[in-house]
Amino acid sequence: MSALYIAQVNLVRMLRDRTGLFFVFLLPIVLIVVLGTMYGGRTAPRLGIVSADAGLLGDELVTSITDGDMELEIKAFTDAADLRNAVETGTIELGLVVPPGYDGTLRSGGTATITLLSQPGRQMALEQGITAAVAAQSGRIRAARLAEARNGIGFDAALGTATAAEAGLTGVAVTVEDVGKRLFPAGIGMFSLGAQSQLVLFMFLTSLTAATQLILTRQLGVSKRMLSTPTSVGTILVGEMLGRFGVAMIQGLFIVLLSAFVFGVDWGDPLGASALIVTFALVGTGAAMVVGAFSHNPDQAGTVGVFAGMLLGALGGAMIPIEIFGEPMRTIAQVTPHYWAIAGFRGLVFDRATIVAIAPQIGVLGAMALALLAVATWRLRRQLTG
Amino acid sequence: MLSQVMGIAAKDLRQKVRDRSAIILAVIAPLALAFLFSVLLPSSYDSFSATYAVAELDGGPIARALVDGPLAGLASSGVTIVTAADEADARARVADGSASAAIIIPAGFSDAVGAARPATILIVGNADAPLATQVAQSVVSSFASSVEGVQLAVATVMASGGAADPAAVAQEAQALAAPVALRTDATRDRLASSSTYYASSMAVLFVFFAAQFGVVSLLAERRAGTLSRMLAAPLSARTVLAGKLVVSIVLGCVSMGIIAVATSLLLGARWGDPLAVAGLIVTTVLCASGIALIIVGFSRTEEQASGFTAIVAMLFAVLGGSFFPLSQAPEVLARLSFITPHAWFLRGIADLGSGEGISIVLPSIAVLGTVGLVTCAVGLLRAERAVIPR
Repeated sequence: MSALYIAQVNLVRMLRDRTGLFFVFLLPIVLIVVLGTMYGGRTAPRLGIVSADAGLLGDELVTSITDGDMELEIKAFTDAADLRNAVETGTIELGLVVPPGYDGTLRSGGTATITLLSQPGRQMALEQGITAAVAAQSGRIRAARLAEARNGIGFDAALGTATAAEAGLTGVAVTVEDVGKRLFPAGIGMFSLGAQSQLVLFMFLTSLTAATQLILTRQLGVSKRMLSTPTSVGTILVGEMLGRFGVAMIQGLFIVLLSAFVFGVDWGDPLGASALIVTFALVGTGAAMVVGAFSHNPDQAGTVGVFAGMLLGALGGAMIPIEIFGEPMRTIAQVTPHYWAIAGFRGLVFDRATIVAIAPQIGVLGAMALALLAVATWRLRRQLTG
Repeated sequence: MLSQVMGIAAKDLRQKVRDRSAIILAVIAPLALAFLFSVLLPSSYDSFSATYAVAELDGGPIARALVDGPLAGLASSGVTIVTAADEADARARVADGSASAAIIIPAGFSDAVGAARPATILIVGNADAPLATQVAQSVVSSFASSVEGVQLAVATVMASGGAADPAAVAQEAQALAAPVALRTDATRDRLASSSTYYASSMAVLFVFFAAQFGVVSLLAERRAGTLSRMLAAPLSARTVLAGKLVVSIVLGCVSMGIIAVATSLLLGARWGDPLAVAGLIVTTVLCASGIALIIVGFSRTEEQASGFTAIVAMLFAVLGGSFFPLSQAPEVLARLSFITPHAWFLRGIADLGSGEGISIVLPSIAVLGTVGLVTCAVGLLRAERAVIPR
């Protein structure tokens, strides 16, 4: 009972700290929302087009691009300078300038130049799609010119023949097959990736910053005073652990439930997700107890805690998705608990795994938690009784 | 008065150098995170290299033209071509990762093209190497469309005039210049490279923490009673406030300056023209210091001020693009971000990536300078009324 009371005091202390509440509850949600709207909302690349006074053939080209197979978000621009600025600053991926008088140049046998504005090497597939549309029109006009020259028919009639002939050609197909696994499966919700990373990032951060409370408790002599009452060292330690654990669990459940009900984030098998959250909260508790046991200066432990939490989070794939890490960082990431928790959630959500399939991840987290808690208990027991 | 301001500032700065929390937040944390982010992101994003397994099972002239022409030409752009014995071999190489993509030209391909029968080239790409697959597709498709162009010319001439030798028409068509030329115009690179982005975004994120140390100490000195004692000496309230503000500004400039120099030397970040970077840093630090001083003016204790500063710093950082590049953001969010100094600073650093001088960042410097001066002025007025004991 006394252990529960100590835990409760710890919880109440945290909930009274309003700045703390911002970091525990609001910031993770803000990040999930921003990440989701930023990366999840839009999939089609943006193409800006300037085509003033380009005439019939110009319109035909633009229509063949906008109505073609490519999934694009088209933005019309009136000014080529604006278009260039938008491409340079990355607010659109590609710009296309069809010059004024395009139609006239082509009908009178001249060469028209279309300008494609792009950041070098960044939009290969999109550039390829545009190039193909331009080449198709260019091919029709060349065929028409050849027929005009050889057979003495008018350009318009020849172009009509070319368009008709094109429909009858089977062409050369290029089919693309993908083997292997996609980086992220199609159709996962826009908030999913962000929610998984923010959950582990912030649960761990909160635990580490809570380590300062443990130091304060010791420094203010609260622990000594508790020991003078009929409370055993074991009870005090269990109480402190339960306090940390409770804070991490409240935060974890808040993020999971809010993101699930408000943003429709899928967390997969509830049993598996619960096991991951509990073991990860235990790792956070253990880390907090270790920091609290070995540190003497609460201010410093606070700063170091935030810093270490962010560093481990980044290293474990809670800031940049682990999938885009290169080697050897992908291997090094495995020393962090974040890596295993995220791997577990990826399994639950992307592969629809059950708790059995993610048992290795849960096992690693459990072992980390046990090791950290053992070290902290040994050290604190000596400090409190010594 | 100026020497008194500097005297107060110098004393405080000496204390801060010994305060490990200040050093961690101002220098170590941003540097460590910038370093970590740049090692986490694979460098293959900057330079392209790939291996293609080519199974040329046709042996005809058109297939040879593809292999000896465009595919052989890829060697200069970092692509290694290996010859696969058959389709199964090519697929196996992609599956085991020794090739990023396979290009399979089936037997009878050239004959099919010549006779205008359906012809197909198959590309098998490794889903793990989407860029390499796109490049392969791009090269093969552009070859395919040139073949189609010739087919179309032959078909059009035959359809509109009757008898002609298809091979002769094909040659004539190939000799004719393309009516539409496509010119790819590489734009100036005004998107920061990833190491530059993370260096500058971490610098601006943490300067909002670093700059608070000077002005927040006002509240500590008030609590300890040293503020009253300073005011009892022949020092005006404004002198004390200005001294504290100078501490914040110096700390902020030192923090960002160290990060800029260190990431340039160690991580290959390209910040751009030094004068322009200095202008951006000083004006950004003015904003950070002014905002911190306003927060101090509305706080009762140091803990409260530090807490509010942390909240404002994190919200601005999220909104202003310190965590994710804003070019990916929807338009509304991208516009909204420009209420933060972070967005203006990062826009400025990204603009400098084009290699141009200070003129390209004058808009950023003007906005940051104005906001910085206004927040500093408002902060001083507020602190004079609220923080100075009377």
